[in-house]
Amino acid sequence: MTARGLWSRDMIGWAMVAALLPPAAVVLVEQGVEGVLRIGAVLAVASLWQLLFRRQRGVPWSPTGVVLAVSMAVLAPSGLSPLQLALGASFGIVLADLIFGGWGRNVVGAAPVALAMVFLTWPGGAGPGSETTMLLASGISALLLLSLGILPLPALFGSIVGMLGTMALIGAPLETALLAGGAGFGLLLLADPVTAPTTSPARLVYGLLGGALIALLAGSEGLAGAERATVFAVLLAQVFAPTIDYAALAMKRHARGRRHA
Amino acid sequence: MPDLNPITLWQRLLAAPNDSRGKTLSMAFLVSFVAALAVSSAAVLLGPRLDANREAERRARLEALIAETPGLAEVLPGSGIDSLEVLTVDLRDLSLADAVDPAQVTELTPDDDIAGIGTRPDLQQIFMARDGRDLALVILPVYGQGYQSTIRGYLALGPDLNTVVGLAITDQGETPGLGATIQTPGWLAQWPGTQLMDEAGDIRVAVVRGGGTTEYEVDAITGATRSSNGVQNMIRFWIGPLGFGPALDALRSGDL
Repeated sequence: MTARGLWSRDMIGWAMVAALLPPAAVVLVEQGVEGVLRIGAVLAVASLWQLLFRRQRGVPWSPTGVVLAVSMAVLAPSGLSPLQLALGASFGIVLADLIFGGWGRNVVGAAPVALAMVFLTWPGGAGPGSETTMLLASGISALLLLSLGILPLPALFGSIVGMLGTMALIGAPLETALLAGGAGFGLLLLADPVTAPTTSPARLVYGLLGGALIALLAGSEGLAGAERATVFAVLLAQVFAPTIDYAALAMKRHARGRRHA
Repeated sequence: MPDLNPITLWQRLLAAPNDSRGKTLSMAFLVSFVAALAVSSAAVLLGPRLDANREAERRARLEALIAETPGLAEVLPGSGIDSLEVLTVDLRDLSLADAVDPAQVTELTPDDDIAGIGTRPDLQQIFMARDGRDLALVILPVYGQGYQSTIRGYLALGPDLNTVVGLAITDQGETPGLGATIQTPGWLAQWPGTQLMDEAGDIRVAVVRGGGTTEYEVDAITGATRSSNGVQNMIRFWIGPLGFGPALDALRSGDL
């Protein structure tokens, strides 16, 4: 045991890899060989970029590649070739992650960026079609990450409340939340500890915002097959995370200033 | 020679202190692996039921759509949706299939791909209603690229398979107030009665500015040329040779 304690960066990385096994298993069951190819292609190209940046810039290993591979297999439209996914993955991992110095220093997640690029470049594909089982798998992942203290609970809680609340407000069918495999998995990406804010109140607000955005972008049709809406909502919420953090800290400072005045 | 006996390995793992990295990670992987097995077997076991539910949902949505689309409900004989047959057709050879398989697609060349969809799913569902033995209504699912989103909808054709009975747009993310007008009842109301092809069998249907002058034309939306073109190209593609064209011919001649 080192003096730094149990939870090093690598440790968290591997724990995240472990937690993504259930969604990966569902991808393999539902998409078969295609799923293997999708995960494999993204993992290969992501590893290549990570290796390159490690040699050139000393960016250390991170679980981004695995998170990216599973996320793209879960959320990217079916009908896209592994090559198309690999292109999107390159864009995401390099521009969102590696050029900032790797996982932990990124502002937005590599997976939402890669998926947004894929959705914008090749629109028209059908959703990958995973529903209830993916929701179940994502729930198990979330529980594992929560129990290990990796996933911030306020962000996850806020996102679920924000999503269901907004659906009720705009009159979207609430029962589609049970079919929300894509959106459910998206909440994991939203609550990613790196891109979520750092203070608890900010995390709650951020979760609420992200969840509400998913429901709003998915519209009155509900959450079934709302992969596209989920990706853009997560990306948008992540962009606002630093601002929310800043506001929460400013309010805290203000409150403390008044107490000590 | 390292000891590979699983029982002693397991005992060694249990004996390790709870705050060791190896034990924590091994446990995380173990729990996750068991959960992955459980979820994937559930996915396999529940697969048929999920498919059935999905099919039911699709029918329910189509039913709601028929109720909302003017002119459609009246055309349906009998008690509405119950009389609707579903044919799953393989567009490559017009054979019938049991279920839609999104993995089977045909790549489209840029020249053929007027709807901007990249690949065409080969297995498509056609919904039909009969009045006695004669066709009364055929509903085709259609989709294509609009200005900034994928437009999805259903095109309903009358018994001659050339007269539009109604067009319903189920999904679109076009510019609100401009392109999104394609989903409004006012604009869609132009479609009933529109003819798709002329007597020679050439596709004539068009969405044009100031249109509506001939039976093939529908008026485009001012300021939303690309959304209007999107709808036009989507319909032209799906009734064309790479879409439902051959299937419609077969229906006309009674081969399907």
